Amino acid sequence: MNEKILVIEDDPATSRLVDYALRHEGYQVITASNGLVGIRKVQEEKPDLIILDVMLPGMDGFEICHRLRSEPATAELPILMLSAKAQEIDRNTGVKVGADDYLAKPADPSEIVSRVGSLLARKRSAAPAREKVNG
Amino acid sequence: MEDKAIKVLLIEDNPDDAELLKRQLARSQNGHFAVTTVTTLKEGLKLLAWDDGIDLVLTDLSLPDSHGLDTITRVIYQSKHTPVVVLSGLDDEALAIKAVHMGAQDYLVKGQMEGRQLERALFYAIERSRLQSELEQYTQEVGKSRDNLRKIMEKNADAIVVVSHDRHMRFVNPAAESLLGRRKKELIGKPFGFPLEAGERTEIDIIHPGGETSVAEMRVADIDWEGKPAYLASLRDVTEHKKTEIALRFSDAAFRSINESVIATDLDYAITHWNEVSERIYGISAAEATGKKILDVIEIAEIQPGENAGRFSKLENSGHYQEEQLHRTKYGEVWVDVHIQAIEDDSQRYGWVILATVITQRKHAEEALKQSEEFSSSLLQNAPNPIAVINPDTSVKFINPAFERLLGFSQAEIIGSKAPYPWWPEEAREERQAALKEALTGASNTIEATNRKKNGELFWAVINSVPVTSHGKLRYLLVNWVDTTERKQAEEKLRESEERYRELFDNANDLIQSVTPDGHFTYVNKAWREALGYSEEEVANLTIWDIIHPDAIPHCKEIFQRAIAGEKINHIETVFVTKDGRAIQIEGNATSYAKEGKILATRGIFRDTTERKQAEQSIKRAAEEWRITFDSINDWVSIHDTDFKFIRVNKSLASAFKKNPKEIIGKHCYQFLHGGTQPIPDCPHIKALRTKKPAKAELELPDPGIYAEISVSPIFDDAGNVVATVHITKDITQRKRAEEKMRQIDKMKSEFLSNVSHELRTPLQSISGFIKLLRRGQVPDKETRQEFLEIIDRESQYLGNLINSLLDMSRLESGRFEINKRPGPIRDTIVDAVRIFEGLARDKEITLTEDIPENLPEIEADSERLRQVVINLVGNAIKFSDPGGSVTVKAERRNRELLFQIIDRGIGIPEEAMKHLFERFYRAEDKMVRGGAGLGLYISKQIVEAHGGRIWAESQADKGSTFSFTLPLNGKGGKTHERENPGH
Repeated sequence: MNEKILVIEDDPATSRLVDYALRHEGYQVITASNGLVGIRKVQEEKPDLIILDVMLPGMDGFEICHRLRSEPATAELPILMLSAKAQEIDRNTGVKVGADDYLAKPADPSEIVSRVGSLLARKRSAAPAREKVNG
Repeated sequence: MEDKAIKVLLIEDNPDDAELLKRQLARSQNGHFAVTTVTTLKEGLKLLAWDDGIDLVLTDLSLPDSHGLDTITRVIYQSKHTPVVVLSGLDDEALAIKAVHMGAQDYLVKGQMEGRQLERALFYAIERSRLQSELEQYTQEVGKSRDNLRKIMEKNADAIVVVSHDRHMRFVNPAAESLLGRRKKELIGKPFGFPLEAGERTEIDIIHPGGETSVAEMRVADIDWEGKPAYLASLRDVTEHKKTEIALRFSDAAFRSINESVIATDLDYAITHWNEVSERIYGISAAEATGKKILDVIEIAEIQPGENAGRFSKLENSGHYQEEQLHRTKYGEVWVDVHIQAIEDDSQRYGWVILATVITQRKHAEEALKQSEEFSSSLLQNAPNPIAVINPDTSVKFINPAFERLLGFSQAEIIGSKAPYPWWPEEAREERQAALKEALTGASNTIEATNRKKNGELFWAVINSVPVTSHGKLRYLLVNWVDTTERKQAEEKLRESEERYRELFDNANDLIQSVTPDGHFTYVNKAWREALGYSEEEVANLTIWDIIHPDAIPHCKEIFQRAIAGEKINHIETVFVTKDGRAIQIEGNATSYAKEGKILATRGIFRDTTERKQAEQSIKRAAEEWRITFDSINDWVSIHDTDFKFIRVNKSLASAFKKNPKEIIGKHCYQFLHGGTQPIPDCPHIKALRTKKPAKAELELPDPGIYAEISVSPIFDDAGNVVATVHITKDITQRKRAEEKMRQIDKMKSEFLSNVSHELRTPLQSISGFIKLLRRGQVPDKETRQEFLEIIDRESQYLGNLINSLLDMSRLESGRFEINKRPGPIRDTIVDAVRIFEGLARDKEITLTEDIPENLPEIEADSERLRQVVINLVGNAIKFSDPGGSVTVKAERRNRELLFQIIDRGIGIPEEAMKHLFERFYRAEDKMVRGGAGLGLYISKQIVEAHGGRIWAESQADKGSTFSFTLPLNGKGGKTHERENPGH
């Protein structure tokens, strides 16, 4: 398995928490503390999934998400948004800009792991189907 | 007839008879008969109806559809001019005669005729019938022409009378009836009395039943009247013509014989007739004058220039003209009485007749007489007293208009009458006769006596008789009357009028007084006594100075003097004092009256105006109150007419535009306030005019740059029409701004809550997350466990600080924020606070330095709060610095305060953010900020200011920012709540 997960999160404590929880489940984890670094790492590291915070210095999570969706290479990349902005409007915005899933802080680490697991499973089942269509 | 076949219609139902007849006729040698046979009358009539060429009908009397003589009638009815011959089986003489009577030409008996007999009978029948109809036609024509003649005679305008040779009238037409003045039935059969001779034209005089006569011209012709020879007399009425002729002859003679100038002109005033008198007057012959324009022949002296033109236009308008004119002739100036008359009939004007009589002598005589008589005549005419001029024989020569007026006799009644005169009362005749006689002897006399007017009324008069003589001879007597009745009546009237005035005065509402020059009252009216409260007896002991208010005395003295000097004082306003000491305002005028140049008293008429004055004052006061109110209102108040024009504006409005109210009045409000040429949309003035109810609008006024609330209320007239509106304009800019501010604060608050929620959730995420990992035993490694616990600890602390900040904010909001100042060294506080960030700075690769002098003086301060400020400022500086940057904390003494500065080389603060930095909830652009509730700087500012210090920031984009604050050295100036809050 050893799928690669990119965590874009500016709060070091949260970053550390997510990093530890995912590694504990056997995922490969890379982190970025702002949007620019995050996008660079998406291109360089080609993660299988991104956990994206919303309130980030500079470019915010929504914008990062929108940009990634605009690039063909990352258009289908599973994105899980993790935000302290709990209001419904934020959830809707997240979905609108193309996030696959949305989790409000504080979130249980096991919930994060579980969501990541199901997104990746969906990705795995979708990929061969798409190949079939394309082929 | 021989060339042509004779068409015979045979109506015969017996075929044998028919055949026999046909054969007989076929054998004819004199003519050819074409026989058509029918067997019924109906068929025969049908044939007759459409074939008018049938020459003869031969019919049997007994036919299947007709029997007997009726058959003849029906045939003749169908074709009147076709001869009918009856063919009968009956040899009956009576029937034959009947048949002929009914119109049949012959009656033939069947079987009794030889062929030639029949032939001849038919020929005769046709010939007889032809002659008969010719005769008929001839007779008709004769009748017609006679009728025509009668008609002509009847309608003729000339009177026509037909007279038989035995001289009796046989016919008269209506014109003759009217000429002879008698009805037809009165004339017919009566003898005609005028000589009649054919071909002669004579004039006859007709005497009418009324006696008047008329003249007729008569022509006589021979005619045949009703088969007998007769006379036809045609008469024409020439009476008018005769009269004109006579008149013409007469006027011609008159024209020649009259003794005045007679001139006739055509419409252009060219002379057509000029008689001998004219020749004599003007010295111009008829030959010379004829054809010339009148003004070229006669020179009319113009007394006024252009007078002649006026004369002609007057003449042409009215058609006649009369004037005495001065004509200049060869022989000199002549006065002429000129009559001009238009020659015209109803529809047309032909010319003018001018009659001129020389009146020069009369004029001169008149002039002389006028001059000599004018004086005396005018004297007599205009004398107010009755005057009579009496001839020596006692006949009255003249009476003047005054005589007529007084005595009631007209000139016509009196002139010529002799003594005893009708104005002498009978009982005084002798006495009057004697006086007259005396006067006629040449001695003037004066008597006072009664006289009788025409209506019988008697009057007293002084009669003065003066004889007028010339050349020692009495010419006439001049008598004049002085009516003493009038004088007596006048005296009576005067007394009456005085009484009336007195009554009037007494009942007047005005205060009337009469005051002698020494100040005593000779008269006061009832209203006066009532107003001042004095009785009549009391008034007698008063002087004017007792009732005038002491303050008004100097002024009144002056007026009184002027009135005594004879001046009429028209407007006096002063104050009287009543008996009970009340002051009353009075207003009026004063005059004086004098006898023989001596002033007897002043008369004053006054009105108590106290109430009016009070009313006036209260109106004035109300107006003043209103004006002051109007001008004191801070809102703009203006009154507008229905055409948007300012009628009135208050001071506040005028001064807002730096104008005088007069400069605004008359301007349109949409132009003045809104700078437009048309009323603005949603104009409350329009709405108020339309709905007749108050209207309101909030508008932005561009010129003073304010937000205004305009309330418009309509003003009504008595009929309920809106005549004007009141506009109250409130400056609501502050309110609008406050509302705007409130909206911003609301927005910030909502953002704040969202941020606070975020800031609370972030530490909570790690705290709860790590705890969950730890509890589930997912962290087997001890060191990692330790690390996680430290994170939990740190995040909990952060959470605690955040909650403190929120509490501080809440305290600040509710005014319960306190500081506890204590004297002490503050260097340590600052240095400790900076040190907290050493780890973070290192992580972010930021150089953090402090430059704080060791000997920083002690001050009174709340060190806990101060630490909070430093942590906040340094935290921000690090937050906004990129790796490789630097943050320096400095402190120094400056004058009487300590200055602290936190300097970074970070991203800087945008210009627009600078002014809001210290406001609560304000956060710089989201994207730059990592978290934060937007409270730090706000709380810091409150803390610094609570110490009596100041806080500010300077920044340059991309170069960094410097946050500075000061604290006063003496520790005063800030709030100290130590005692009030000892527990804090």
